[in-house]
Amino acid sequence: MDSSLNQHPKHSERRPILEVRELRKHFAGTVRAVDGVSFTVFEGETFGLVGESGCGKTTLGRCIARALDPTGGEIVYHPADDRPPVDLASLSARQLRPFRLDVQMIFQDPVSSLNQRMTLLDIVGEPMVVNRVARGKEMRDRVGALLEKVGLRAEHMSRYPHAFSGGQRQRIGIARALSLSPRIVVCDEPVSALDVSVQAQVLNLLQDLQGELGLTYLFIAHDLGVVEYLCDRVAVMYVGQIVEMADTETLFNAPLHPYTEALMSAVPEADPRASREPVILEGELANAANPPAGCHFHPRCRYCIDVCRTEVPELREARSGHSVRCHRAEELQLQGVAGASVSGETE
Amino acid sequence: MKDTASRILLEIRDLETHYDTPQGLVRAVDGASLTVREGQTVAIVGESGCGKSVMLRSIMRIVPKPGRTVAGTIRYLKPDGRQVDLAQLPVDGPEIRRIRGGEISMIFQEPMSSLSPVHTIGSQIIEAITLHRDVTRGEARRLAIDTLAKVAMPRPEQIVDQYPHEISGGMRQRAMIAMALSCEPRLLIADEPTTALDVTTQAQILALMRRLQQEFGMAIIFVTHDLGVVAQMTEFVAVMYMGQVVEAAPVDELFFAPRHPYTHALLHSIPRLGQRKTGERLMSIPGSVPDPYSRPPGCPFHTRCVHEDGWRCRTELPELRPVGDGRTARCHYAGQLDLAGISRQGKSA
Repeated sequence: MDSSLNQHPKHSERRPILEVRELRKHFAGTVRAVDGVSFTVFEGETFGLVGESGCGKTTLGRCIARALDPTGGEIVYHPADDRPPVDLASLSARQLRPFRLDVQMIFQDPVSSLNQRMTLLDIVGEPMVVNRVARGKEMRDRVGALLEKVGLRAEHMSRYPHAFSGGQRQRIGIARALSLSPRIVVCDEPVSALDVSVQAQVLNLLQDLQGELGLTYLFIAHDLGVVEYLCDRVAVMYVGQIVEMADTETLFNAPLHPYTEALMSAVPEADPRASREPVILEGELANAANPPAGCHFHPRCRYCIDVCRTEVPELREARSGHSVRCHRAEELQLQGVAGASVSGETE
Repeated sequence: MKDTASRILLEIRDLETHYDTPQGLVRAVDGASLTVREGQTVAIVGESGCGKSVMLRSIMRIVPKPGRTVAGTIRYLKPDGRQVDLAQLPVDGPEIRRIRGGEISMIFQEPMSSLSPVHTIGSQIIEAITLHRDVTRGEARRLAIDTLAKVAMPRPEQIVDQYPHEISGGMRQRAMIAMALSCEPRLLIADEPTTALDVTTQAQILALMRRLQQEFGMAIIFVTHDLGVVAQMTEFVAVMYMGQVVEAAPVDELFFAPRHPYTHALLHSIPRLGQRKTGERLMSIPGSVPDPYSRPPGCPFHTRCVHEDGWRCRTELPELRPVGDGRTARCHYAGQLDLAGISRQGKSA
């Protein structure tokens, strides 16, 4: 595998494929699951969304795949051909149809996301039939090729999902997502339900497919190790908002938001000689129906000052390509993963 | 080192717990051995289906039917110095019931499904206390509030009268830890205690468990698949695969000089935070854990092992044998393979 995929791309040379602007999704009118999120994804990159459960990352992913209808904001998609950019958020179901093929999803749970009563042929082939891409023998041939591509055997296409292990079922889900030759794949925690020995297989497969097919991934995960390994750029979410966004190396080595610092520090290091003390965050994720005034993170922040309690910080570009939503981003000296482990070394 | 000075609290030898199912016999635990000393923290690492949870339930004698412990010994050192073989005790006899929840207690992965939804937090802790201690209900209630305060539960006087659904996941896990600690156990068995929690909540719970261990001095068996938790929380590690311990070693040696190919593969198949610069592709273990109904002959790992020799590994089950000071491995080639440990940032181990 070409390791250059891991190098973060020069953004200026890249073409945006997705521009999300002030996207909002409110449930029951009051729960602001996604609350004004803006970011741009470039063609061929892996864009990571991290955060704790309840931060809105899954809701955001589902809005982008239009599995949910956003409450407000824009999702501007740039098609591959000469068609002009289009705002997916504003399209009706009918108008959306030609673009649905281009954005597909992979789900967390390989058991509940596959219909146990359908064969692999039906699971992977149905999207082609529904969207009139292929049918009959051509569809079979395509399904066979897709199964081979994700590391399964074409002759198993008449079997049912229960005959496969967890990792193999996730491969079926990947084959289904690829059946319409999408350009963007929203991967919602694709490996967190898998055994560790199988996680690596699926992560490597996702990387190989990206290289081969030129896919763009929106990669939603809570495992920071996986995100660091796979993603080119990362956005950190807290209570429905992006609090920090940068290319992966910058974010992990020199975070600017106290929440990012705490999140990384909380991950126990798989090294018995590392003796760094984690930053323990008190309390829990704020309630999205009734977030705290000022900065939503202030009740748990150890750098909180008066202004944080009253004034809502804006997401602003503190350094080139590095956005942060914190009043004190310039003055704080925060620890990244590399810094933390070096200081652990000297103890 | 703690583990040379202290006495052996629990010694599991060649334990076999099997499930006789209509589809066939599942050897969930198939000759596993493990030693835990007083005050020691031991990790059991393995993937789902490796038998780690069944082994723990065998210690407590709470293996769900049709599971049965059919062979092996579980020698436990009583506070009075007597040794009892837990595997021989009747599952609902008075002796195991005194030990279970009193001297040895357990916390589970899913606090929502292990706490009763129709009883208050307080009544569940009070029940545990009155079962094992000779106290009045009023005193038990006071002890329950004390224990909740010890696990840093906010507002313990209020929480004691609340139901599990009224509090958050992290607080539920604290409540379960409080219940497990209410009788000051000598051995705490923690079955994936933080797997269902977010990392920041996990950090809170791990810090709490570390503090409580210093305070109470109990031994802990930590079951997890998270190598970060293993590295930060435990002194000694047993790696399980298909019902057997395939490698056991002090934590530092296991991470920096693994002896079993499975341990080696596990260490290198997870993306570790801060490793991006090294640019390595993840090592993946080919295939998946074999079907429990059809165990491979020979070494159970041979179907996925890159060092498989084509004859001996396929036919002859390796013994768990010493491969250095205080460590064992179950591999024909444990001493000969040059397996790399984890690398440290900026330097190699």
